[in-house]
Amino acid sequence: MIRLFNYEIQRKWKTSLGILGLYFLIYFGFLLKWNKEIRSVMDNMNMSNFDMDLLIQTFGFKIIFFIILASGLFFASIIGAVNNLRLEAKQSSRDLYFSIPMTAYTKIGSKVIVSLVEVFAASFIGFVSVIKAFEFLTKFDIMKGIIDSIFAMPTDALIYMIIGNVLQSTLMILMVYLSFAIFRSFFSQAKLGWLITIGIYIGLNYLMIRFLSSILMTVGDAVKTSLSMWGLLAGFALFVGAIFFIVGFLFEKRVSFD
Amino acid sequence: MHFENHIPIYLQIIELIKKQVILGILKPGDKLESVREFAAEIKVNPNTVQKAYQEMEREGLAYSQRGIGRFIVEDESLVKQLRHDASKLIIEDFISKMTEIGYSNDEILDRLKAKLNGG
Amino acid sequence: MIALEVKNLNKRYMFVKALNDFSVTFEKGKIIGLLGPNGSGKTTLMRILSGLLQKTSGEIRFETKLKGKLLKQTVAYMPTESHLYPWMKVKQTINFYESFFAGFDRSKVLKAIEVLDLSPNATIKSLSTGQRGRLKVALTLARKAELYLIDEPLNGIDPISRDMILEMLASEVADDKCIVISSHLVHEFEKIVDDVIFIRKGRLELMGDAETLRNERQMSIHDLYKEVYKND
Repeated sequence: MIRLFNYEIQRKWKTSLGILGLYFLIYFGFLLKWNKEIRSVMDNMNMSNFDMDLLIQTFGFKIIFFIILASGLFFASIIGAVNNLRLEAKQSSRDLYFSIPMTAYTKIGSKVIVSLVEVFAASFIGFVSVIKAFEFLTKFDIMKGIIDSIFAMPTDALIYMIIGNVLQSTLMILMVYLSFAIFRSFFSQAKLGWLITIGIYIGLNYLMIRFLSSILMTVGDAVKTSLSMWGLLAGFALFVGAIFFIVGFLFEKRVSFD
Repeated sequence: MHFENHIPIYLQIIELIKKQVILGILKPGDKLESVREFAAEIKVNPNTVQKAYQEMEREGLAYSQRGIGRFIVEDESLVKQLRHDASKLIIEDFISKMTEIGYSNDEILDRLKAKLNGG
Repeated sequence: MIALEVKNLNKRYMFVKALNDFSVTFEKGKIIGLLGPNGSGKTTLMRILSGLLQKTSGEIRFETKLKGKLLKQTVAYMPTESHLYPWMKVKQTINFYESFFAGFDRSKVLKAIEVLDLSPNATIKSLSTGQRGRLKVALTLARKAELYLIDEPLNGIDPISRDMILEMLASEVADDKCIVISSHLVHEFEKIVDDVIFIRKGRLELMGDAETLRNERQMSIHDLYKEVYKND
């Protein structure tokens, strides 16, 4: 699988770095520009002439801008995650990639891992950069507060959250990949493939929500004890694993590239 | 090398080698090139060369020595024989073509004599 | 020695049968020409054998039982279109092949492209069709496989490159592999094939040793091709 990672890095590093570079260009550009404006306002304000409206007027839009910018980075990573498989299965190079002597499980697994790394990196960078921008502009120290509250949490709650988060993101990516797998297994030569795939994706999500909610209904009472919290997580992990297995199986034995 | 596609290629390869013997490029007793080398040279499938060589062995034009290679038979009269065979085909073809355009046998002889004497 | 046996292979699309009860045996040590007009099923057959397309029914049997990874290692397919990554450089592409395909013969490719005068730093996108065509074939033949499926290698390629590709293919004959080449440019490549298979509307129309057919029918395979498909 390491060879596959090498290949993925080779394929993506330029665009990824480019997007990141663009993000920081815009980020620092506006940060420095606005800092000047803000200094003059903040220097004239102290506890005695505190003006809330002016404060919100000065900062409000700017902070929202950085949040939107970070969201843009996040969405770019989502698109990257989707395209990892979409383009690989669509372009003529697919004849080369899918004839590599490795199981589809390995190939799909590598793409899921790369996508997760992309999405988490974008989320982390986005989040931290927004906090830092806020700190820089307001001179309030928020980061320390955030870090303290994180470490104040009980360790197993923290671990639970992290695992849950990873599983959820993995599932999100796998649902897209499953749509591609189903399309290529049963509708491989249909026209308007993208439309059919989106339809499959919507259908799958609907099914999943129905399926999961009926399961949650039955285990709802059992969740009261903490032991079952972990049981729930394990069950969820199994569910995600099953979806991965289905995607891998379809790509290994059922898909056609016409 | 240009080969016609409507005649089996291995036969044309045999003809090519026979011509080389007639012209003295290949002498009786000479070693033939290996299948692969010759195939690469004349740009054909090695299997076709192999077939040609085997047929040549069958006809008695060549023989093989295990581990050493294939050789043209060491027959002094071979060149004469091959030349005679080749000429037979050419003459037959010539006569039939001349007959086709209306020459009688005597007329064919006369035309030949005249041409060969510088006409 | 048999490389592959195909029995009653069928491929049905919605209303069309691309392959109809197709049975054939591919022997090692030979170059086999798969002939037929566009849409006759040549590419469909190759894509099914290489695992890129699923069959509807039928049996595909290799000498040894082959599945999944082993199948992909044993069958080397070269599609008509450029399947190489356009953004990769030549040297990256060679490294890619070497890293993923066991037994890949790097020196074979380097020798083949030496003649092409290609810079290893040139991107695939920047190559001419002739250069790309020859590189594709060289890369495919440098793989260590038992069955090579070469789909229309001469399409859209200049005459000199075509000759070089045919030379490359002819020199690859070996007892441990079977090379299947599909084309409808019969005139050019008929002299390097041992056996020919004529496919028509998904069915096996005619099959045999090329030289025997030439002898029996007193015509070139090219003329025989015109005979077979004259009413289509």
